[in-house]
Amino acid sequence: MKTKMCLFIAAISLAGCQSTPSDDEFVCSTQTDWQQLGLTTAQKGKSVRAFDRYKAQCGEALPPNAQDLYLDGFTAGIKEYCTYENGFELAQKDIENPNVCPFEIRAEFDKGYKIGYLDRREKKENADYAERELERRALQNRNGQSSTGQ
Amino acid sequence: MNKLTPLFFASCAFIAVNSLPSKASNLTSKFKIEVEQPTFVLPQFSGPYSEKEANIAPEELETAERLRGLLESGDKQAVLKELEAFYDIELSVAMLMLKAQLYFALEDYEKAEKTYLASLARSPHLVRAHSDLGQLYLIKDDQHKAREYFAKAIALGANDAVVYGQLAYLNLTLHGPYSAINAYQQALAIEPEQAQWQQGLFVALTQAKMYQAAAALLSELIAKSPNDSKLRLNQAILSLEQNDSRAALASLEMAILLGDKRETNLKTAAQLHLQQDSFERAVELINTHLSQYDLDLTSLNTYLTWLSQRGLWQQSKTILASLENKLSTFDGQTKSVIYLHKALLNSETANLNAADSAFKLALDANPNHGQALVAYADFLIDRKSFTQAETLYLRAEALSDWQKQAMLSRAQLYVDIQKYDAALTVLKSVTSRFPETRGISEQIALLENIIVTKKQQAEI
Repeated sequence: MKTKMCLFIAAISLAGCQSTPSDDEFVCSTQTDWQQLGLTTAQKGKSVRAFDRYKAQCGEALPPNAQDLYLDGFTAGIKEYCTYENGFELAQKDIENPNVCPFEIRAEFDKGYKIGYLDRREKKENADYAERELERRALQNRNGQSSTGQ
Repeated sequence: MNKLTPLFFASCAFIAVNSLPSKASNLTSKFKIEVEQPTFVLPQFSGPYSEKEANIAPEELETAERLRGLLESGDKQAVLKELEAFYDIELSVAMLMLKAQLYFALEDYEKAEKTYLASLARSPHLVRAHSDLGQLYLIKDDQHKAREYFAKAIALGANDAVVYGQLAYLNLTLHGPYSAINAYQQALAIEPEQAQWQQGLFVALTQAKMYQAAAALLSELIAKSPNDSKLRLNQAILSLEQNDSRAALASLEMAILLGDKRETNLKTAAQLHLQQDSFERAVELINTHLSQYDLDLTSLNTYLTWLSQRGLWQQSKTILASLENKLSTFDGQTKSVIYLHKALLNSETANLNAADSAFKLALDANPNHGQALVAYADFLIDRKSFTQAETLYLRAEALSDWQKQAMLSRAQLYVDIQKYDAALTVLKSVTSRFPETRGISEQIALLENIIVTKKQQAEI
């Protein structure tokens, strides 16, 4: 039973290497789809500098066309990522703007981020106000009860 | 402006004329006038970015200022090194364009192309990227792509004379003169004094046979610069296009007087003089040509053939004599041409033994000299040496350029010695190999009749 489990885990790992490895996986295989890797990295809003790590990791084992493929994928992916909606969502989640969007398509993303930020701030202010109001009322109630009891 | 790769306009006019007697029809050349070959002028490297087309990102301002300083001190490599430290996607399109332009300026055309294309992938309407790519493909001699990018640059609003001019040139080359005229006019409207556009428009108008417009343009230019030999050459081309060889010669002589001493033009002027029977000036020009340039076999042969066709034996003799003491320096082919013309000269002046020796020397120097083989065979026929003449014709028939003429001459030889069957066989062979030969079927019919008549006479 133990042996079977080990084999299963190894198979999963290998399958991972053949498609798009996660950041921590070893990617310097000829099986790596560099274009896909670039695409998914960009779609997650990560920096293109992630490729520096692969370069360091692979050294001479890095295929000669890896960078071009990666950047092709990244360029396509970053266009998908840099939208108003993603900017808005990021701000809503209170995540810092990663500043990965190229200048010519940055405006919409930044606008979404700014509005998302303002919206989140407003909601927070409203929530804070509501909370303070509740506390004030609760305090008022407590004060009223104690004065009636006297 | 940096002058880079020269590219060529269709700058010569060629007109075939039947200016000489029929015997020389295969030797008659075309009038050819050579004019200045315009060059393409690539725009100078224009600075770190073009705000008109793409802006740099605010966070790049500081870097851009530093790079501008480096560029002003001429250190393109240092700027490129800084830019190469970034992935393309990290740079604004303006900075990416700067990178592409630097690769272009440093003649790394593969990287320049890739970087321009990357810029266009991000900003497809960048006029400058389109026009620069047009230039790049022009340098890489991919005219179709160059045309495509120049046309796109103009469609996107480029208002640059160079772009119009180059589109015009490519249209002229790839699609004919009509598609070029408007673009040249646009280029000229922006840069009215630019000689390239004037020349291009003139060539396009001439090729489109819009002679009146071409002449009007030329008159205007000549009025401005009466001592410009190039304009006189254009005038000569225009006259030749209109079959006015007298006017063409006047313009050509004017260009020569103004300093144009190009080989082709001297040769054309000489040819035109011969055509117009002004032999003295023709020989003067031939001598100028032969004394100023390395001996060119084709020109020499053409000149001597012209002179012999005009019966100018004394002039031929003078030219041949001037070459006598240089004879040992020439190769076999050149020697053979000189001996051939000596032979023809001697033959015409009835120095038959000297002619025979010269023919032999011509064939010793170049045994595959088709013209000499046929001419010597013709000479031998006159001296009734039919067998030797037949052998020479057969040798000439092995040379593709001379095959047809040698076969026809051999057929004539057989007729002369009344070998009608042999003549018929040769003529039929000419028909099968050269079916376009005119009048041959009549000759065959005639021979067949003779043969039948002869047979009938023999039977009686």
